[in-house]
Amino acid sequence: MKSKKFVALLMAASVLATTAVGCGNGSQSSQSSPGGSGATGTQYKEEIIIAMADEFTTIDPMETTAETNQIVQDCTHDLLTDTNLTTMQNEGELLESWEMVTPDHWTFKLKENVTFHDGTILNTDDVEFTLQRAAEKPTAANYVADIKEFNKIDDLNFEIYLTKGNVDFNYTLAANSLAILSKEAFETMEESEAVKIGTGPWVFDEFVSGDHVTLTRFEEGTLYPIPNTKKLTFRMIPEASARMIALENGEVDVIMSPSATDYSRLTESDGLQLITETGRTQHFVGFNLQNEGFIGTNPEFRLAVSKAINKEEMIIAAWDGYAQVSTSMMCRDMEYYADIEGVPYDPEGAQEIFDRLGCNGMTIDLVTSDASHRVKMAENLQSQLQKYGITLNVEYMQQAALTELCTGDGTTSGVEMYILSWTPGKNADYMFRNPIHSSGGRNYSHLEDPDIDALIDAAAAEVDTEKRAEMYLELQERLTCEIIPWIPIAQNTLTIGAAEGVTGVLIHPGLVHQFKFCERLI
Amino acid sequence: MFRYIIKRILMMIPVLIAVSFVVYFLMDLAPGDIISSMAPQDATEAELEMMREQWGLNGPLIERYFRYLGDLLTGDMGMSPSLRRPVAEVFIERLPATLQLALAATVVALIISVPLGIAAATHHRSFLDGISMVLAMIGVSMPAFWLGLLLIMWFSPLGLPSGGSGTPLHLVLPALALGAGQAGTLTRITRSSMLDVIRQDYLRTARAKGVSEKQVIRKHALKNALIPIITVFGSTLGNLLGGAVAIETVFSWPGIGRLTVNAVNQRDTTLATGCIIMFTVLLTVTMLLVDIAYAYVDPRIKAQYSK
Repeated sequence: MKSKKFVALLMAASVLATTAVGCGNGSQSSQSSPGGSGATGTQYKEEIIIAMADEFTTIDPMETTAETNQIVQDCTHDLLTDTNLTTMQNEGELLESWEMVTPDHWTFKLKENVTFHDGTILNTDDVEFTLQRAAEKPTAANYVADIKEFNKIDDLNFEIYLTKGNVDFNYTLAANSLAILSKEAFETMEESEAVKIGTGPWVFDEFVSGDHVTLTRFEEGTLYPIPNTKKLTFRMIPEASARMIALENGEVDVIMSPSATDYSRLTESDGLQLITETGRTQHFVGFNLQNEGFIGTNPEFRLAVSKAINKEEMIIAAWDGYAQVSTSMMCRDMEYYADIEGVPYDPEGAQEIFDRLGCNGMTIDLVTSDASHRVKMAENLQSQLQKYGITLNVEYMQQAALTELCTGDGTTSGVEMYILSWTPGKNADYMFRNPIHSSGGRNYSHLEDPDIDALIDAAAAEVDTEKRAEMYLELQERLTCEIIPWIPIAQNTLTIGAAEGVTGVLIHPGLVHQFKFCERLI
Repeated sequence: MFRYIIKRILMMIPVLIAVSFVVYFLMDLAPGDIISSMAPQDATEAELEMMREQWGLNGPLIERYFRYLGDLLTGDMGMSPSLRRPVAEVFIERLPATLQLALAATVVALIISVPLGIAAATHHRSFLDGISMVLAMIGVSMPAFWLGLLLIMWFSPLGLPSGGSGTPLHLVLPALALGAGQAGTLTRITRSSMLDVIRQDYLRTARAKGVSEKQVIRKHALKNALIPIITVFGSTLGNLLGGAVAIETVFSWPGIGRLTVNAVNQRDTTLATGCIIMFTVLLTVTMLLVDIAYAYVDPRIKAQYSK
């Protein structure tokens, strides 16, 4: 009798669970309710839900450099100039035009009748206010550090004098931290509210810490066409597998950073798609040039390692083939990139140098982070160098720890080899200044070469584009084939998973992907 | 009893100071700092120093720690550099989600474990007993995050949300994943505790007097079996909060567990220390409440406190 009651209890529980599941189905279908309609009567999904891996923390563009925050800010705020992700050219976003009078004197004209979310019209006072505010913010200050003078000509025209010539100043203005804010909003609202006011096609609506951010379309916007989607929600789902399942179940429309193991599911499943684009992150194997007892201080050894690495094999191991072999230190989509041959894979040539240097039986330490692609790169490098009798001891650590170790004092850090990456900004100087120049903050190899420093400085100041191209070519060839502070391995493919019908998602090589025009046909 | 409660609350002070000291120093010993990850890639040393000063992370470790402790004594838990908000504000904002999850998991655990444990004890060495123990063993052995992923794979295609928060349905899968481990432990302890009690003479007497079996179990056996169950329940609450860290990540649950993990990963010492101190307070208070519950269940303990 009691057993029957127990069984009845279990059955009741399962009925309850089934009912709950049924309710779930109902709410899911309601997500797909049609929203806006296009000019041709096409129906678009009302809300697009984007699953992000990391937490959104702030809408203030000057308080962050995290891509997750910048992706949301890109929907709500605009820059003076930005990279057109279709043409990859630096173009005016809020600027109608600009002119470099001399490398230290620039004139600008704003687009007319651009409306902020608070209803005010963009003018030069807003630009001046934004640049002044940036100067007080540690995260943004370095972008405006060279501004000597800002002169308002009229409501739309202004000029800027720099303390030193910068032929790429238009690229500097494309820094996400310099998103233009409304001066009037700061005068009439609390700062926490005023920072939400931008000119983008999306208005900041709601932020639930650790859960989601919601944006609604800017109905009165003048800079962009009114989006067909009514609501854009960024949900935070840290687990890659959970993001994938949420996409498959229709809980979300787009997922960021799908796991490489899910690429085939995304490409082969009906109703799903994998959006890909070559990223602007250079992954490399580097050498500490200040570790005196380390054989890697010998350029011949570095050349041998460069010849010994089969990059294609490493790409298959680390990214399942979703990456492009790098032959130059410079990233592919950058201005002044030269398609040089680099150091081709040459096992015999490598063996010859290793033999000459007596490397057989040698043990070398390598440090890298615990990110899965770096772990796979390190394991692959271990097996590749083992063929030449070189044993690689790999130590994995967290990214922050690795960065601190590799940027610390090279003579005492104990680092021999490392695996790291560099995602440069939009101009060519950014590619070399930080990771190569002796004054660079990310000079992980601790290269101190006055000739290279002088060449980087000269290229940055050169106005003649042909001469500049020659200088960058020389830099690429010397660094990739002769000096080799690090060996460029690959630029990985950036991926986004999306449901069928999702369009308008643009992958940013620097990871600040664009969802401004994201919509989904139903 | 009142004196005992005051004594326990006062004992929390050295515990909290010790916890803050250990966490603050361990976070500092770990390589990497939040400022270098927050700053632009091309930030100069001067700019980094400016940011350290802005977030109160400049100066020697001891000085920073005592500055932190001094602020803590005045109720100021500091500003989190990673979130750019006061730690107390973020903690209070995220706490309800974790409490909600812990409460739901506890309800799940109790709903499963108490009837199952009683059924196993009253049907000792039967098929039902065997099944109960197998299920309990699975619950105890299976890592919560793994069960969480399985539940997502099994149930989210049927319509249950795979993550996030907002509706009661969002709570179903994380509560099941988190409650399963606790249910396993409690089922085993309920069963063994009940087995001890139902063999007692006074229950035989009750049955001889004609009291129904239901009454014997519910009124006489269960109440006496409760003390060890409460003891174990109290100790599993710590595991529950610990498990919430993994479950909140798997189910994208916006609670303090995930907040703490992110803080540690990002080397946000202020936030991590604040969260762990608050976790300690939460756990100590819960343990105190469990101790107080003993007194209500067992009059002998209450009498002991009265002395």
